[in-house]
Amino acid sequence: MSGPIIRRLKPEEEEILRKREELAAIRATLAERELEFVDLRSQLAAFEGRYLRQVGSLYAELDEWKARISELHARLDPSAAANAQAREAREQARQAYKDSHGKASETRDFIPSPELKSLFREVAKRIHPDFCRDASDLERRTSFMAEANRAYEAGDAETLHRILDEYQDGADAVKGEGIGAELIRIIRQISQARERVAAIEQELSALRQSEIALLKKQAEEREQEGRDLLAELATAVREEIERAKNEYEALAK
Amino acid sequence: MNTRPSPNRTNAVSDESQLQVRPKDGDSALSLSKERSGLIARGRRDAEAIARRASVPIDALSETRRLAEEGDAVSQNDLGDAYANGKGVPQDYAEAAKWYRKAADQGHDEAQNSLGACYCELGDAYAHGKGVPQDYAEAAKWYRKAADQGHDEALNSLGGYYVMGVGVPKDYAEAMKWFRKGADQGDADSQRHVGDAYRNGRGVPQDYAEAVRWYRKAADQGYDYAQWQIGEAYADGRGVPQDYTEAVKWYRKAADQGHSWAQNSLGFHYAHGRGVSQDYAEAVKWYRKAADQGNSYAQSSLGFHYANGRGVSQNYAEAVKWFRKAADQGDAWAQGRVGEAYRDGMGVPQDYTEAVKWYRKAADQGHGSAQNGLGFHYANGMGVPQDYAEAVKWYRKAADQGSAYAQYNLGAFYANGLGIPRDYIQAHMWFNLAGASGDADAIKNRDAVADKMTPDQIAEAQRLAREWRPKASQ
Repeated sequence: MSGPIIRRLKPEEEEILRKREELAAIRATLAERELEFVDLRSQLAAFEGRYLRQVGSLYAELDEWKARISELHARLDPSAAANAQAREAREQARQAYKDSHGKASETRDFIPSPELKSLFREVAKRIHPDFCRDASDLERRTSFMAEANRAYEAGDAETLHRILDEYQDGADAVKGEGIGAELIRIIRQISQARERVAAIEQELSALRQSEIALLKKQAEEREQEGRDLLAELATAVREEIERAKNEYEALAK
Repeated sequence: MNTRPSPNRTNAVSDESQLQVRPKDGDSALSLSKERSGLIARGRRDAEAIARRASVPIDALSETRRLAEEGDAVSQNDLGDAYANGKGVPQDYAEAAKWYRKAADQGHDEAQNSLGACYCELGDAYAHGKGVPQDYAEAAKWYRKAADQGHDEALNSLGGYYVMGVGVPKDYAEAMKWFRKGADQGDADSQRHVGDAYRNGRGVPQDYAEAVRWYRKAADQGYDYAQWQIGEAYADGRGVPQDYTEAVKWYRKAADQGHSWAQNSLGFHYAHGRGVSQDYAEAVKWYRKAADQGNSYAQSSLGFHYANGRGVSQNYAEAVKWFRKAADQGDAWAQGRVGEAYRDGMGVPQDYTEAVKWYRKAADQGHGSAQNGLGFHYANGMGVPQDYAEAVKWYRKAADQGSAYAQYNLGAFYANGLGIPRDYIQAHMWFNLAGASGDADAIKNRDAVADKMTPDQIAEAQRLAREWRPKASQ
């Protein structure tokens, strides 16, 4: 035999090739979105951590003074209403303390390297939860993806590599599947991926409209003017704390 | 700006949609939950206030001022805004009020509102000693001006001042007048206070039905406290026919908004099968929500459910954990339970010193069974050096409250002269009282003591027992 045999593709095979390309493209888009999402979320979490440490803890302190004031009022003039108010103020203070000193306040700033980003993209493309054939596969991939998200947020490249390795073999190999069936499967995957892209875009926009995102935006705008929103907030709350303290001490006399 | 705790009625529901964000991705630390977003929304509001204060071209005001001085109402209002927000001029509420006043006098609606807000700020300033010496009377004066403009917060603050007698003489009727005005304007805070006033009979004759009517208005605005109170009204049959099903319905509304007292009440109704089928697991679920928010009643109840394996697997360590949380908040019953846990080594390593410590906390609050517990430790020298006089002291407190167990023990100490001089009359009296609740040993001891007494002494002891009345806890 001389030279390679050129094999002519059947029309269905051509169609499959086109669909595979389409699928690859939409998966790439999806991976991008996943990355965008996990990035945004980590940045917001980091910002929230900073906010809670810098400002939230001061709100908690302020609420503590307010609770003491209410409690003092209730002691000076005990009544069900005053007691209820004091209880409520105490609850609020406790809540503010809990919220500002919880796990969220420990999140530190997050700067992913370009390597980490592209690694995550690879992982997202390969193990996306929606590319799967049955329930157990779905479950397996969902947990892998969750792990990948966590690893990314922790800057843990090693885990991402491991996930990628573990997933190598399982990928999307299809054995003993006729061309027609494969075509249908790919078409279904494309539409799943489209749905997923739409869903994640919604999630992204919800995230962008969350309170913490809006606050972060305010801070960034302020930064443009060379100012520090969190520091200004902290100063304002400290002033309020000072006033509350004065009020408390005046009342205590 | 003011010290009134503001109920989360406005933002209680709004954030639900954001909760849907990627829930299956494990627990990211990022809060899109409504709880923390309260703290974040607060930052946003304050940040906006700071922004308003700062970024204004200074020149813009000179034209406004010129027009305002010429009598242009819109400019007067704008100048008022500038002073109120410290935009282009130093913040100055008095000056702001001056210009709002001018605009308001010309019938400028917005200025009218702003004037109220401004007076309210001035009131706040005096109330909190912000830039002026703290002066409640002065604060009340400004709140009144603001209230006269129909300003919600001022109506509320002024009402609150009359309730507390701060800056004005204490006068519930007057307080009611201002709350009522706010309530009629549809202010949920004021409606709640009017409800409270009717419930407590303050400033108005007590009228539970009327209380419920006002709570209902506030509840319809989603005010969780009012919803909880309506639930309480149905549970107690106060102002409405008793109806546990209805009570549960209202508790649930407030509980779903995160109101810890409502969650606690809902847990209680599940635990006791009131208005719902008895369901310990559901009870535990709600107690836990409230307990996690620091509600000491719910913490105690949750501990109880763990201790008794109701709705959860029996787990003493977990029970003690929750008792301990409630105890740390001063809940006497829970302190007693913690003491008991240490005494019996249930869920914690046995430690009599710790047991005594916790019994003492509860006993100092007048908790009868803890006083017994403490008496027991002193009587037996467990965790403290044996001290009969101390044991007598604590048994007496519990006995005075009517604890038959303590009365029996106190009788025994008198009969044997332990820690106190022997006194058969006293011994007879206490055995007699303890025996009245059917304690056979007490009756036997009473009769044994009687053998050593003269008829006169017995008559005296019986008189003492007859005239004995339980004392309130001390």
